Amino acid sequence: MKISKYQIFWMIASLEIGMVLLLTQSPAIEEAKQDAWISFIFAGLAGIGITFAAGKLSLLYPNQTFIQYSQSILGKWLGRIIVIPYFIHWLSVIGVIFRQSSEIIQMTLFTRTPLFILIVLLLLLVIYVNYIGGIEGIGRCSEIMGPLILLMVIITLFLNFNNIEWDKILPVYTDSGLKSILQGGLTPVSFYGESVLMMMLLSFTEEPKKGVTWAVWGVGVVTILVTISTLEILMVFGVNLSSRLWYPYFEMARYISLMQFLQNLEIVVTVIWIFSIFIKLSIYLFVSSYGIAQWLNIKDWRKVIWFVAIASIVLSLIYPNNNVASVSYLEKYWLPFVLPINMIGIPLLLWGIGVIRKNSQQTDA
Amino acid sequence: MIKRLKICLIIIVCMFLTTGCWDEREINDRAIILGWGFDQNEDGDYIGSAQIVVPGEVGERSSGQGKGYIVETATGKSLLDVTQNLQRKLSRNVFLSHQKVIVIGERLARNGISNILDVYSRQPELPIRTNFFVLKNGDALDFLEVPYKMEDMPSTAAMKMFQSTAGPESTTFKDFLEGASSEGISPTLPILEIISSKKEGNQEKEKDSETFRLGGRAIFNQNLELVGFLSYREAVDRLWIINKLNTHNLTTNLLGEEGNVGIMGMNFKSKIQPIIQNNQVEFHITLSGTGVVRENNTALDLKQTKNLQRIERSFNKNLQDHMINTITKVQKEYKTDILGFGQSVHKKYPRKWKIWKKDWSKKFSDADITVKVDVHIERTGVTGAPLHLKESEIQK
Repeated sequence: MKISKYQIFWMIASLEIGMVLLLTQSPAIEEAKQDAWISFIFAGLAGIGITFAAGKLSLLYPNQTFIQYSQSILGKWLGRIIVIPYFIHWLSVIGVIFRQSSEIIQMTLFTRTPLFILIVLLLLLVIYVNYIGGIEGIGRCSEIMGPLILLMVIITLFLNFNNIEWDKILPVYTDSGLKSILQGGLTPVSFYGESVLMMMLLSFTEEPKKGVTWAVWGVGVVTILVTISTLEILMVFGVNLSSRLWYPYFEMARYISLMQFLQNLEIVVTVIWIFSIFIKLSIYLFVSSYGIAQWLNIKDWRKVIWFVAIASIVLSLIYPNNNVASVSYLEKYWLPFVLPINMIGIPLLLWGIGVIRKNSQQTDA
Repeated sequence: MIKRLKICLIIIVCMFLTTGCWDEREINDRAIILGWGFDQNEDGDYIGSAQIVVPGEVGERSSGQGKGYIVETATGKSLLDVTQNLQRKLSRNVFLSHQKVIVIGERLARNGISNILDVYSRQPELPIRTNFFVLKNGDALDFLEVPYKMEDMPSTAAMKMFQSTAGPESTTFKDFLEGASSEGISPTLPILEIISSKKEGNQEKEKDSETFRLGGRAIFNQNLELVGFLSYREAVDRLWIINKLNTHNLTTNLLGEEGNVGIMGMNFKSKIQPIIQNNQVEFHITLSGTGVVRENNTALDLKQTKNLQRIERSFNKNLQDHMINTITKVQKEYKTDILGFGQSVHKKYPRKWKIWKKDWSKKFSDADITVKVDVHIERTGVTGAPLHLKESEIQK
């Protein structure tokens, strides 16, 4: 299985943009007020940093996945233990994404369909692309869907230009201050940082070095689009409304009205947004199945898909309501554990040790 | 063999999954509500009235029978309760997504409307792009029953009237929510009035000659209670100040001369400059716009630049006086900042604003204002002096 550098770009961009647009803007605006767009710039830079670090780490062993090279760097046992947080991260987030996305689909499109059915349908699709295509299939899907997703975002932004009142973002800085701006950037960073998935994907690329560059570009493009859309949300709805709306970006899509007939575009936006969720879920499913297989030395990683699939159904249905699934999961687990440990701590640690080991090997030889 | 079994299994699974849409609701099972009215009775219960499309009869009115819609009402403790009770009267499912116009009766507005708003932003089916109106001197139900002839659905007429008289398109609800949720600007809603169509001021109300028209603006305080009204002309002043006025026709008497001049005004801009001195705020409001002369009921020959300047001067003076009257009325009578002056302070003096925002309405009503209007006339139409005047009557 091989993927190209452009596929890496489209994979990273489309897996990031869907959830970032859905879930990060409201908390960021609540924290940083009308300066939330500055938070998104900071967050984007941090996200690029995380991507770059993960990429550099993977380039130390360009032919191995994260599960393999953590053992090469730390030794057999320590290397196996240090990836456990990632399995918790991947499996739990699959459940949460399933839950949230089905919840949105249920809310906007199918109000009377049971959640379970929506989750299973989406899951079957994701299993199918993994089973038949593997990472190659996912890569090709993202090459087709990615442009559509970005185009959808750009069109939404464009069609809302007539609703802008630019002075709604004033006064800059005085209402929030540096602390709030940085704090507002926290949630976005934790979503941009999902590009650490690269550590698993890079070994499949034909040109790993270019793969890193393109992944960074992926995060960069997402940052630019999300920052602009945050600015636009603020200029359309003002700071008070947009911090209280759960999904301000979707609200903005609903708000489009051009010449009296171009209205109710939110259905198109939702459908294309599901593409992004599909790619994200496929990648997570692939990464966790493949990772577990390598971890337990199972030869056929496709068998693990079924285990992960069943686990993710259970993990998506254990939450009592959508507040727990989105807000509590984010605040109690994702921000305090995943962001500092899985996205920053462990990659930097491995990178440091890896570089030292490589150097000492070279001096030995 | 196993392969065949697999295929069979897949086909059976698909049979269950592709039976059709789970959420299908046929269009003829829906009661599509276009206009919605809110009132409150003496007990404090809400009365909801709905203008519902009768699909078979829309567009067939020329044959003389049927109105294309029916009006139904129900009471309840909240909007949801009302909808539930309304459903008991309807054979089709209540379908709210197409509500274009929502009208609030004056009594309910005076009692405060904060209890009915949440549902509009929480439910994903309900569009945030709705038109809210307040019905002056009456109940919303009366409005929904007015047989307006020009549109198939009378309630959409209100929306179209609003859009064709310089109002921004369908943003009243969002603007209202923005005003309600932020400090420094108070929410307002446009007004509808029921009148007799034949003669204005005719007291005898016959159902057939009843119609409605767009009024000015209803002013709400921060508790979302109605506190007063602006007339239509004053509402135009307000739109100009908050930078939302599109094209609008203005007429003014000429200073020191007989007759009046009408222009079509465009490119209206406003600039509010707060200046803080000794803990007192002063507002300098600069309003500008361009105009095209559409009517000249004076003897002036508009080929002469000095005459144009004279018209401009008259406009500036008269508009300025009117503007000052409007602002003073808002300041002294209603003591509610519906003009966004507070926001301009917030933008220019963010630190001061943190202290001031608590008792802003007092500061607002005490503030001094100066208004400068600068209307520039760009074109005069295709005649200089009026064509019907004799040479001797024309004033060069």
